[in-house]
Amino acid sequence: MKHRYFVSTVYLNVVFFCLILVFLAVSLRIGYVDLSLREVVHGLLGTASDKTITIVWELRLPRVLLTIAIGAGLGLSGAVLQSLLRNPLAESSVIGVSSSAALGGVIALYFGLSAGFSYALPISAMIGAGIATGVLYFISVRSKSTLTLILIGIAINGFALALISLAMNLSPNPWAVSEIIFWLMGSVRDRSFTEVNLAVPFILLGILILLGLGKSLNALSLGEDGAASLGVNLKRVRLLAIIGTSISVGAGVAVAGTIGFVGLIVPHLIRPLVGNLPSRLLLASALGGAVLLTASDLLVRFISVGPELNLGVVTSLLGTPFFLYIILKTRKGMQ
Amino acid sequence: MNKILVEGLSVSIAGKSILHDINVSIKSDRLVGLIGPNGAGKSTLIRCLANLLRADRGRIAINDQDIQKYSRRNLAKEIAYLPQGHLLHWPLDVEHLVSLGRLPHLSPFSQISADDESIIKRSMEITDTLNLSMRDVNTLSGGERARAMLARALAVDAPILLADEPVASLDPYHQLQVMELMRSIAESDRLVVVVLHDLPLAARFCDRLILLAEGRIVADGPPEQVLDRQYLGEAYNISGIYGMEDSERFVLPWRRLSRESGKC
Repeated sequence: MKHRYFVSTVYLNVVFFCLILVFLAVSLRIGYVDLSLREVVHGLLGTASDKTITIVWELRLPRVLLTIAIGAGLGLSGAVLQSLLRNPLAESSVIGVSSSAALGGVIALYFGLSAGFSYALPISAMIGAGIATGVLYFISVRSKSTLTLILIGIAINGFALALISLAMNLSPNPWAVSEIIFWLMGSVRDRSFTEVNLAVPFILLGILILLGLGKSLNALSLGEDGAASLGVNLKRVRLLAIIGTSISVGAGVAVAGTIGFVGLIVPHLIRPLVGNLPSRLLLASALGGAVLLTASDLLVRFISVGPELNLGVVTSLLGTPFFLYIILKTRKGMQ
Repeated sequence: MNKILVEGLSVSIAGKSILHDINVSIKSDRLVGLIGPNGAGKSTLIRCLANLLRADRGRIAINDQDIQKYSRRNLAKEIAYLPQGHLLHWPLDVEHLVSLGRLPHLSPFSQISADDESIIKRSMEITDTLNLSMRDVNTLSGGERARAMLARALAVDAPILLADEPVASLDPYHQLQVMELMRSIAESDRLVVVVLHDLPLAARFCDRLILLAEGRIVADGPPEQVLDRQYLGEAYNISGIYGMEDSERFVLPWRRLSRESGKC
């Protein structure tokens, strides 16, 4: 009785983990050329034909690894932001963190910073995400209203998009403009290990930082005074949450553009299964985010209607009705 | 013996002075009521005692040790704080809520132990919330919610409990119930400091009252002394009715005084 949720949390995490493995295998197998599981394994081990090795290692593995890492980062950062801001609508794309990361990325591209130093792109995106998260936190925490956060998010989103538009406006090169637009739509298509190496270590670092915050976030259910009276160091928790979110979201945006709503959908679906205690939500949201994004990416690859759909477009199509639903559900708290 | 010592405490928030030179020593008393009109600085004082607010001047010692010298975790083990409003941001089960009280006792990666479980259970027994353990806190009635929140504070198992308006917005039945609980908690060798607006409850249940007005202590002592005509007039600008029932004295706030007569 006392651990009735705990069992299902462990169970759920195991299920998610297995699903990730299944989607990983399917992603490696299926594509322009279908491979058998045997060929995939030989490809991974480097004992298959050169063509198979190239397909597995250079075309498919980087893409699916990026998808898993980005999905986990987005799912987890959504769960952490919601717990930190005590707001079920907090999510990096809703509150402008993703577009600020994109702005950071655009700045790095625009000024050619990334040409000399390849890490300039993810670092600049992380700084963009960090500034947005910090501003949001310090403004929204003064107001108890759910609505304020969303309005500040709209403002930050609008400002970031305006500056991105400015960059595109001033860009002398139409190719650069279409590249930025395409990037903003979010995709993991044609990514190589260069992108994996740029982003995944940062995302993993962010995930590790965020996973450690469970107990403090639990205490924050009682509000800031309640949490502080239980010995929680609020400054440290805020700082780690902002840094962890910025790193994992920023690094993901840097290589795959803005992929929205994963962090909104996943924690919301998981909460009824594990209870509302934030600590139980964190790992499950990371795994669930990876499941959702790899599934969406498989969907994108299976649906063949003209040009391949962008992953960000699919998650937004899934996410916006969800967002509306959560608004309607929580609107009592918004007055 | 649990002790709180406050010396020369002054606090201002956003340039506005809230508390001036507060000196209090709380030792042998068990249930101490902090009363005073709105804006008198009661919540500010209790938040200082919980180290949630830094004073501009003065010092606070908890059990003979300066409050600033405690580590966060050790202070959290000494003082349980029950915030105003009984606010909970996520719809947790009562049992999950109560278990949050064990946080100061858990090391970063440890889970709730059998000892923790028994303290959680005892806190729920004392507050009569065991039968609510599976209920979502946000679906409880006001009285149930107040008890669940109190159970959370008790689960800290701290020798000192600070409660900010625990009976606000409760009906009379539940006000009496929560005050009886406070009383019995105080009798189990704890020091309980509680912010109250209800003077009859304060008079009946507290061993000692500290009356604040405009950031200063106006009166401090046993209830019959503090709720005297003169102090009620000075601090609250009201007059009261005094009486006896079953050999217990009571006071009822009765009439507003005009500004002039209240001050002079």
